[in-house]
Amino acid sequence: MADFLSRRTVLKGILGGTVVSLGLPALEIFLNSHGSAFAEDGPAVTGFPRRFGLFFWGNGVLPDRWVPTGEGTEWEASEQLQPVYHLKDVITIVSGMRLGVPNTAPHTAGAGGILTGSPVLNPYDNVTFAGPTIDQIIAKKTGEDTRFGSLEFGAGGGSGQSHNGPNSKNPSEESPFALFERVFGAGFQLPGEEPVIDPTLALRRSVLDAVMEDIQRLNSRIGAADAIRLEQHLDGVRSLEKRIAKLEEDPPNLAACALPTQPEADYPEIEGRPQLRLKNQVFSEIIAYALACDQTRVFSNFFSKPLNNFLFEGAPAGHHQMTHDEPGDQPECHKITLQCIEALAVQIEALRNIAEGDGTLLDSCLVLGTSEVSWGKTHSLDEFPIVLAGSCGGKIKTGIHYRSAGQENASKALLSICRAMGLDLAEFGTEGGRTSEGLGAIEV
Amino acid sequence: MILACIRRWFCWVLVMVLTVACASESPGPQNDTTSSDVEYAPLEPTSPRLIRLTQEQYRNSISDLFGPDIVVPASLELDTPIDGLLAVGASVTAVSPRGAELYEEAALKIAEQVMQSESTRAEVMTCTPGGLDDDECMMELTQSLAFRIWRRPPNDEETAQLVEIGLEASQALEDFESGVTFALVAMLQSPHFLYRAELGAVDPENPESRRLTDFEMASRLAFFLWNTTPDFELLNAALTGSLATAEGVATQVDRMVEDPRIREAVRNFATEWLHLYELDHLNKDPNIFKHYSPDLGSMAREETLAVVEYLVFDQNQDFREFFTLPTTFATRRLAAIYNVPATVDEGLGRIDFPADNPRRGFLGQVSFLGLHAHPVASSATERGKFVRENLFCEMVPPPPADLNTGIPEPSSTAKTLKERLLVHMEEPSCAGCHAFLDIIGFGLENFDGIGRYRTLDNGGVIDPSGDLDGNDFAGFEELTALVATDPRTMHCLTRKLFSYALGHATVSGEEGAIDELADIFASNEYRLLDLMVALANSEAFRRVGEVE
Repeated sequence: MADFLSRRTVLKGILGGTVVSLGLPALEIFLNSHGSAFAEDGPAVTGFPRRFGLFFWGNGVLPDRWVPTGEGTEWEASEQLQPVYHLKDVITIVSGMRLGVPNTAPHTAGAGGILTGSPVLNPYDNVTFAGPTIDQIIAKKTGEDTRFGSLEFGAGGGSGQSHNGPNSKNPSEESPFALFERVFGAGFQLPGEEPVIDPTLALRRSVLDAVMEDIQRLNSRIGAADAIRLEQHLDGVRSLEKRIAKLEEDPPNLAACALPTQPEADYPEIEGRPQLRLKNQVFSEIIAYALACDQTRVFSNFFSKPLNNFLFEGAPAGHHQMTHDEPGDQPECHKITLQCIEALAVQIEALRNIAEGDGTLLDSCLVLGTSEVSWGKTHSLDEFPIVLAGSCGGKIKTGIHYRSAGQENASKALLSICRAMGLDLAEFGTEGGRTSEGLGAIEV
Repeated sequence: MILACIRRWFCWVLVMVLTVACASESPGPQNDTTSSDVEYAPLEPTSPRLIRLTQEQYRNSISDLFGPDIVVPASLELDTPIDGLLAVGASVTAVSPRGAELYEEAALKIAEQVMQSESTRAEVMTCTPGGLDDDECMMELTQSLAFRIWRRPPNDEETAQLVEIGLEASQALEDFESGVTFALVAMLQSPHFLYRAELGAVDPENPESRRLTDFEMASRLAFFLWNTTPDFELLNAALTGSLATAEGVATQVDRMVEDPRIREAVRNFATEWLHLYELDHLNKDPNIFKHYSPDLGSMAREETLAVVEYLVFDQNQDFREFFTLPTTFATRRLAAIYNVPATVDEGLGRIDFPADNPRRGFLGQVSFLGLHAHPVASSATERGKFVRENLFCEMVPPPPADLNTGIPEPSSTAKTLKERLLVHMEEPSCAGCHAFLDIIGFGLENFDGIGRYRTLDNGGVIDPSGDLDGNDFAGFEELTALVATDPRTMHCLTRKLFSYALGHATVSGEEGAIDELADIFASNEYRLLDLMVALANSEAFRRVGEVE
């Protein structure tokens, strides 16, 4: 352990706290830890693993200023899409869709609708979704090979929206420093470094085996609802065991892998305003390198959460209050939405800034940018905001605006995303949110 | 116009009471009758649920087990409120993968510290190992540790597993004490530590029903009355069988309410009931509210908890005074918000409001007024909603979707928030719930978004009068007196305490038990400790339903 630490210290010294791609031999094909070629289920065009990211902001948009003009490749940004327009070639806008779930509880029904395709478990409360969210549906398939099945974080994330199932949330890390430490702190190995040799790793795994046996024994004595909870707990312990085992293997060998800048320990609010913009910038870079180093293939970035009442930079009141109280065409709400879409652009750019193979990291990614309502003022679920970025290794068209003529079910886009990520799904969502058809227009 | 509007929303309230929306969860007792001929609906306990230790309970347990110097990492699995209570969330939510990771990290750090510190190591090492593979010594150690950490004796299979882990580590690391460290790591990550499995067994005296085993009872008592793990005496009472009888339980309950740890339990209950945990995220625009600073939320929480402690422990007074007491405990900053001279330079100092200062009780504190408001303004709706849901235990449905929710801008005819909301209520679809909620909030409009007293809102004179479900009030003082004496308030407090103690949302089969406890509370002049004692000794506290 001491050797390892000193090696890392030296490394940090060399890097001097900046992002430097180490001069490691660039591999044209991605190899997993056993040295075999990656991507068994239909090789992705780039030869790199496909990655999914959710970028979420709260309280929706102003639909009148959201929808782009023109369709297909011939489109021009609306006012609210200006912040991502310079990324036109690598993004796709999907408009005119609606959520098929009943709008029973403002902000919650919509969040559950766009992330799970299902009505919320209890129509009138905001406690839990009825099933796993799209990031976890994907992580279940793609998370097996990486150290972290998924990572959840965000400048204003709080308890998060990512669900493994009902009443099983993945908390969203709010501290960039904590996320950095979790992924790139003790135990992380750059490509080419030797695996950690530490006898306590095997002991920790023995302990986890015992914990799992304890859970299973307890499982035989409890009721059905608790059995589901313990099964979730068991999954967590199992993934932890895998994470420890990964430390004993050769690290993934990806040329693009490097250490991101170490964040500040804290980003305190300034004059009652959280530093959302800065935190998002730091988070975006950390997660980009976490993907580049194949520490995970699924992330959720909660820039701000449903119903949030944050004081954004320059805003005269909390975001949620203003969506309801600001009269007229809501210029202040508009400015906040612009800040949210700027943050989305920062996340997309962070992925595009990393060269991988002949292109960029973004090429193998698919980012879904969305919110829990369309117009915050009415909690409307029509004209739902959906931005996609990255082609998912050539599976999704980019550079286009798809305009639904007939208010199609937004779950169609979710099904297309899952299929692009290699999931063999017959359908997505339940009840009004259910669909068995993807969105052909955005699929390659 | 306003009268017509009021009539219309009153009709709406009636309609809603008759349907599910905006209806009262259950009517409280209409008077304080406690005569012995009152018949209560028989108890039908719900099936037991595993209750995960909350962060507070985890921390308190480690401190009690190994001493206050052990540092528990700041991050543990998050607690989620359900029905406002973290205690209920703890029996419903699942441990996340991140939570499993945090529990491992914490277990490693705690075990390491325990075995590094001279004093705790000496307490753990009750035998001298004869070698790295001394299974007898390892068994002795792990058995007694597991007994304390798991709040019950481990069975043979469990002991064998801990011994195996301990010896594996002892030999791999060539150090017996490192072996003990890993056995500790296993115990601290085990579901037997992280969850309270209060599952019950067939009641030997009444084979038709199930009740908690003695060790489960020791746990439930400790977490309810102390918010921490049972001490040795309580475990011993379970071991020797004295918790099997009502007298044995009563003896322990009497001892426990005299112990200083009861303060922690009362503070924790108040924190959950009043949502004081949300104060960590209290957020105000300092350009509008000059008294705001990021630590204001934690000051406000301490203020409210100090008042609770004062009422419950120093005075052992009628708890309805929580809403009417002209006394508080404030920092300099809080005193400035209250527009009274501070009585101390540091920390909280007692303040008795002069007669001309209308501020009274919890509804006049920043922890309520500031929390249920916007970052830049007050919110009659948020304040009313808190009172309905948490002080009256009434259900408030979410607003209907696809509505224009905007309230009118201030105008020359509608300057104040109340006037603007009354215009908003002319929309029939908004009127029902807004009237139900806002009418209470209107009585609190003399306090701005951080809790400063004011008479004007946006240049208009505030009219704080209204009518609380049929009782007129002229303003804040009368409103808070009505809340204090409203039978719903103390019945709801009883329900919340019941739900908190048992770790689940109350079910219909428990209504009789709650009614009875509420009556006992009333007949004991609303002394909170008496209610806690009655609850701990009650049949409902001990009985559980079938596992299903």
